[in-house]
Amino acid sequence: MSTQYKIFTTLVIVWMAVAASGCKKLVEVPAPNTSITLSEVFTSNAHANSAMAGLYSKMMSNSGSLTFSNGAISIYAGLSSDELLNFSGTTNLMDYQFYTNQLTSANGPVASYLWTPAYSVVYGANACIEGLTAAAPDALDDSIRNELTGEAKFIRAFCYFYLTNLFGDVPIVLSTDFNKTSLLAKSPQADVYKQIISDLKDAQSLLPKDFSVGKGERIRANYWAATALLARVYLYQKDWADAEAQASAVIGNSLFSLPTLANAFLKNSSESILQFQENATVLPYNTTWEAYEFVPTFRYTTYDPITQASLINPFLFPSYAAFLVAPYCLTNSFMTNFETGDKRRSTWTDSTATPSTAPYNSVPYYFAFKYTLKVSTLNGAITQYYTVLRLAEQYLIRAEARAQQGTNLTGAASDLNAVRTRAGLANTSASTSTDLLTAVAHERQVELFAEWGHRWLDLKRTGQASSVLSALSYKKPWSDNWLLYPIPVLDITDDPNLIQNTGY
Amino acid sequence: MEFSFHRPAAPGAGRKILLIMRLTAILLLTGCLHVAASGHSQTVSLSVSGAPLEKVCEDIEAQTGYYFVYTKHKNDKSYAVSVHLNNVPLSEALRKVFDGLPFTYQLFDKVVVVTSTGQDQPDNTATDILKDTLEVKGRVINLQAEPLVNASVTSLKTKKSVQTNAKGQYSIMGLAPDDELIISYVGYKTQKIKIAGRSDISAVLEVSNDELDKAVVQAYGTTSQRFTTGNIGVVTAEDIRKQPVTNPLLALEGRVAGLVITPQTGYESGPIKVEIRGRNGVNPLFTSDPLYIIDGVPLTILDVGGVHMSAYSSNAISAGIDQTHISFIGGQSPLASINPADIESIEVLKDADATAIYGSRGAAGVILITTKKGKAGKSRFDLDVSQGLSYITRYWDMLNTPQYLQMRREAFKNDGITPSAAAGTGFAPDLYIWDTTRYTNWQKYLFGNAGKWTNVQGAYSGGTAQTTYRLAAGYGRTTDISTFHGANQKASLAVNLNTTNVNQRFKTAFTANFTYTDYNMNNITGVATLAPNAPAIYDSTGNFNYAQWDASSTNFPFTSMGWTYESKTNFLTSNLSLSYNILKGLIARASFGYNLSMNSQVQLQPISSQDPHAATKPTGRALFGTNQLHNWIIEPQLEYTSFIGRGALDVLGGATVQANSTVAQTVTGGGYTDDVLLRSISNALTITAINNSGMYKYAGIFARINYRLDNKYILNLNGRRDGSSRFGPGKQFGDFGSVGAAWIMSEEGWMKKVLPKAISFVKLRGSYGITGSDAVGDYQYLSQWGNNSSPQISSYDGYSALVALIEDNPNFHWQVNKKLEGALDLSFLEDHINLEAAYYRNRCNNQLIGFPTPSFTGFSSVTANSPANVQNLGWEFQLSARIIEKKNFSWSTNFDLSLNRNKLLGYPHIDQSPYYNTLKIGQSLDNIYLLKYTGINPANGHYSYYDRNHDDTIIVNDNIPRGTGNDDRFVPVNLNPKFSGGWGHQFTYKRVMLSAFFTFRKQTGNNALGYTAGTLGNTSVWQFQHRWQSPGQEALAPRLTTKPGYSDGLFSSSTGNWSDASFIRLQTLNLSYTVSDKWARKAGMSRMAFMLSAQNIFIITSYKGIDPEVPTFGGMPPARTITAGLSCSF
Repeated sequence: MSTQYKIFTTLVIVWMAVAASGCKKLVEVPAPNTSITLSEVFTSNAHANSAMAGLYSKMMSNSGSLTFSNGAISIYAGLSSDELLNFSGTTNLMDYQFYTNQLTSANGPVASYLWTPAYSVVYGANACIEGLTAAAPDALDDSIRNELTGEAKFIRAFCYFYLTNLFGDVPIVLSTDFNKTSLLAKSPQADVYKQIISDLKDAQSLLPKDFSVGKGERIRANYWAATALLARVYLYQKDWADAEAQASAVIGNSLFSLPTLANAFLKNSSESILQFQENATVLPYNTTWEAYEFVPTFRYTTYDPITQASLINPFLFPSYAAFLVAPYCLTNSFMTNFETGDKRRSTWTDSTATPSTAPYNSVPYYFAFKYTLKVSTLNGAITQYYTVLRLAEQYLIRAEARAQQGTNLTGAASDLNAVRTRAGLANTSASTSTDLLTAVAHERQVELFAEWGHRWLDLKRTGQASSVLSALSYKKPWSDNWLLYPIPVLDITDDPNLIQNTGY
Repeated sequence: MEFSFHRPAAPGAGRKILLIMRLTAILLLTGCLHVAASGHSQTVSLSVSGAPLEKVCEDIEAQTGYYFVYTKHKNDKSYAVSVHLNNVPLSEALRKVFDGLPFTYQLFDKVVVVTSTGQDQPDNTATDILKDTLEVKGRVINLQAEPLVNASVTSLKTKKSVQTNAKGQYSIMGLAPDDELIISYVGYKTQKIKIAGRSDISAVLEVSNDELDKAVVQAYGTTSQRFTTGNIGVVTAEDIRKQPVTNPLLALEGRVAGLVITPQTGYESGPIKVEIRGRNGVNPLFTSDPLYIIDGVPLTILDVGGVHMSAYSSNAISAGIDQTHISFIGGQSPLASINPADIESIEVLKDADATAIYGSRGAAGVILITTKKGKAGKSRFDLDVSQGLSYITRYWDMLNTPQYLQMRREAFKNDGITPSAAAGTGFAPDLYIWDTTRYTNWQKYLFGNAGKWTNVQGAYSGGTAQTTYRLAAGYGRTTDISTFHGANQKASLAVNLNTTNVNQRFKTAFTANFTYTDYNMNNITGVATLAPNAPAIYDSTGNFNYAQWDASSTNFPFTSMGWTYESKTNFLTSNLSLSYNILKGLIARASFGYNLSMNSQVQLQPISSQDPHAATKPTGRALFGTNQLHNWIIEPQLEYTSFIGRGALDVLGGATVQANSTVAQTVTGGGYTDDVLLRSISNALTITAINNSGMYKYAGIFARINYRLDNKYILNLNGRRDGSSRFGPGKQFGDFGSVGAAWIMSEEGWMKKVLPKAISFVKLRGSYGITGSDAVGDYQYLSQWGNNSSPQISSYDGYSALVALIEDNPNFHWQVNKKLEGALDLSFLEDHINLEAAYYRNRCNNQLIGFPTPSFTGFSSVTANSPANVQNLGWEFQLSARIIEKKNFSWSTNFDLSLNRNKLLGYPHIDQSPYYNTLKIGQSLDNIYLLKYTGINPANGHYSYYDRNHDDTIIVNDNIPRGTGNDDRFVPVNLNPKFSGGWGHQFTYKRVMLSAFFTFRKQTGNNALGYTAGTLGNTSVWQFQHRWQSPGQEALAPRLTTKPGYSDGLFSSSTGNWSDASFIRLQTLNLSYTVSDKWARKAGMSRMAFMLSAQNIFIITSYKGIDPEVPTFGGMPPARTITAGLSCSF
């Protein structure tokens, strides 16, 4: 037998030995080394906490751009109402569609900043709830299991709150199984609210009443976050008594108080009920998206008069405008809402003067200045957190609920005054139910401006939107259909049962 | 009696003389004689006295590199030779050597066949009595004197067949003296030899060059168009050599019926869409890429980083080697790492019969790439050098500054908006802030460079009958029209070594191809439509002119031009195959293949490229990507060939185990404060890293049975069992198979009688098969939580984040593709004209797709089986003809044409599928439905459309099926080419050769009119000149406007935006001149040729736009490349 033959038979035998070790093994591959399976996630406290971190983190970042829970609602709902205008004008047609309320179903930001990321977070919340429920009894500490379940439910409710307020009737997705969810039709808004309330109540029962989970930082949802959101939900539902009760619980808790205007948005400020933690390694680094988009690069008011004069030289101003004017400005009509002496105007807004010549005619560009750090640095120090729920809103919720019920009008006025006092204003003169409601609406406008689309949502829930907005020249031709955003066209295509909102 | 080359005879006694093989004049190939003529210049010096013939032959072999083939006899030593030769030409030397011996000799190229003169013929009286019991022995070799193993030798009278053994020897019994032997071997010209009473008949077969009998590489072996039962398209080294392309896939464009090649970018390394016989999947998210096999090793890339979706293509395209997705062109074609100069042939396997043995991997067709091998013979060195240029052929006809400004002012006037320098509705930086006297032809600025091409290829090859080798090296450097800095370079080394042991039983073949590529790219896409008075790119100090752009609140569009992108790839593909001839007809083989691709990419975004005025102080950013692909494959096989009855049987059994892994890693450094240190990751302030990896294993056992009866009836059966790691537990294995049959009608006696003389060959063939497919990506059945999305999800509250990465589905299983084919092959005029007409029907059911799910489910797609049943049906015609074959002039042509129609046959519950609105059962997947465009409304200058349902509004409603309810889109337009193909001609006149290759396509495409002019940005002169200006005016283009409205937006959904995009392109033109041997020899060469090649010479089209293959207005037009080269052999 030749050498070659021996070589050959040896190889064949070796190979056959390998093959004999099992056909199945030949097509089995090890699990991917960059991921773990869902069931593995909920086998340890650490993994489970990481999954929760993933949920919060997703709410703060969207591949390096805005997302519904970080900047996008403030900006786009602000444009849709009467608060904001986009400096880019028609140059940025997508933004301009919000400003004029003439959205098309193909509008990009609606899909990529609002609808899709919100539902992506819903998926994560559903997965956490399912995973935590299915986890073996001894896999996780009970306290962790409860906390995380509560947080996931809060987050799910939070997402649905904005989804239903921006889009109206929406599909209620409560499972990660696409077989169960991919053909869902829209559920009526009332059902969405039922789901939100049920989730928030569950969250209340599961979450601790302190900030221990976030190690003292106010960056993870606790009992009070669930309560504060529940107060808002009841208010939107016109369930005045429950709104008052929930808001009272928050206001009555010693964890919360109203600091000065300048300190309201500092990280872990006493006013904050829930803030989202920033991460200075991802855009926009140590500032919030809102500061990034609302504040100009150079603040005109910080310069000396001589420089200021040169900046508004009519020939030079167009060149400087990009740095002196913010991408999203407060409308001039909005600025007229501040009462004389309102410190919020001086603390929470600032402006850029313009040349006296046409087309500027000295009309300044104002901008929101609640978040102050425009120029951010990678890994820079973080002074403010992105505030999600804060005490002033709870006062205004209770004031409105009380005014609506008419039983405790003094209480309503004093809630209003708590907010006004901080702003350096005298007590309200309103005393009747109607006057108080008008006063509350006005106070909400100037207290909560450029924050979380409050103005847009308030106009809609109080039925004012049509009359207020249709009067604005730049929103013509007006249609009440524009009060709901279009459902992204791809989802409509992918789900035959999903019906587009009227008018799109 | 034994046959051998010059090896010493075994000791022992025997008959005195021997018979050497005998070749009659009939078996001489006339063609060989003049080929061999060039060998006569060889000279011999020899001085022997009384030396054995064998020794003399050995000496001459040693001196000339020629081989002697003769039948050895134990006593042949008794023929003593005495000669004294000094630098005598070989022919004369041979004459002198054999003078007086009972032998004659004949020269075939490099082979000297020695035959007996007949004096020593054994006494044949006995055979006269036993007329049909003659036994004939002999040997079958080729011109390199390599034995042809398993060649078939058939008696014409008795139809009995035998095959040759490992040494090429055969022995056939029971013949009559007046019988004839038919000696054939795949890829060689068949010979018919009259026995004429002899008992020793050997044959030297010549490689066939005619289309029918040329060797064609098939799965695990070779075949020929004559005998194949499957559909195989071939592109040869010669076709590839004529084209100045660096990616071999581009050389296939238009050359194989049924294969559509569409490059996705104008960049050299960019991804290329390859589709064989149409689109099978309803969902465009999975690639239609065929299986690439290079020298037996599959080149499998796992798309761990996701696929590339191109705007101009209906299907996803693999991102290839760039799994980190750092490149801006959507990927890097893995075939860009193959040196076209090393390729011997590319075979495209299309139907079930040809592809079935590759099983599920070959469901989308197979492209087999075979690299060049060494050939036995004198060593030779080939050198090819070429240089060339590429440049743009056409520019878009755009407005100059005065026209542009007029256009903008008119647009504002039409809108009733006062343009202003202030932000807001009337914001017009081009009218108020920018210099209105400035003019830049942006296209010229950006695309106006000339690209350069340099290519040097060297190969050293040769060998003996036992060892052949080829060593090759190549280097190429190109720049393209968009290159501002850097170049693309490719260097390669190829080694091929084949050995055969002394007893011819054990053979090895080793190939290794190593390529290094270095691609540099500049991203200048999408800036050709800038306003002509837009500020300059650079300011007076040579830095980016952010100041002026920012000042006008306009995004600076050139940022990425300041970036650097480099992609360096080391690519190795290697294969060792061993075969052992265990018994006559039984060969065991084992093939071990490995390929490896190591890629590193760098993308640098220096501070200097960024806005110094930005809110955040700009810092540098650097992305480092690495991609590693490993594939290994082991394939043991056993092949048995024999004759059973009157037919040849070939049984192949084997197994495949293969494993592939792809690893991609991206490290991003951010916060650099100094551009100089950008390449140093340790100088980054922040570092983030993402890795993606995938593993894929595949195992299968297969068998192929081929039976060929009388060279008339051929049956080919394939069966296999496949296992794939891409399926969840319990769903990993599937069984598949095919049957193919062919009937060579022209071999039938009755047919021969009725067949006109002009028709020389008629074959009917057909096949049917079922193949599976697992082309779904890896781990899709598994839920995956991690943090390797890009950019990364940051940590929160001190915990690293974990998020769900995919929507998992454990339930999907093998997809089933059923392929049916029927074909007629005809040859005319002694096979000078060959025509193949094939009909096929592929049906793909149970489709594995990335099923789109509404994003509210959390993800926009999930991998699943879908009941959609898609049919692709088509005709393919392939014609090749040698029209004129004269001594000084020849003309040959080849033509291919393919027509493919696809149809959604059925889709249960389509109304609940994501395709309800876009697809219609019974219609093509490539249909889109459009509004009927009715021209410009003379009243207001808006586009107008036909109101299908007469509801007085034009509605585009994506929420309902097209053309129903209020949706007005009812005109179907099929985007699949109606037909496509290529037409090549080759003329030779003496030493000049001219070849031209045309490609053509009949299709409808997106024209370049689909927009409304008036917004910030330049427009075409056509659009401007044909615009509507006043009520009542009949115009071809709409009014100018700065805020396109609803009717403008609808234009792209109307028939107005789609028009004929058919074209005929002279793709390749090649002129070469081979200098005469005499002159070449004077220059010390055996061959020398000059060559001029040009790519993209002209296009004939009625397309409205610059080029039907550039469907976006302002897109980079295809360049023309012209190269000149010198090719020599030593």
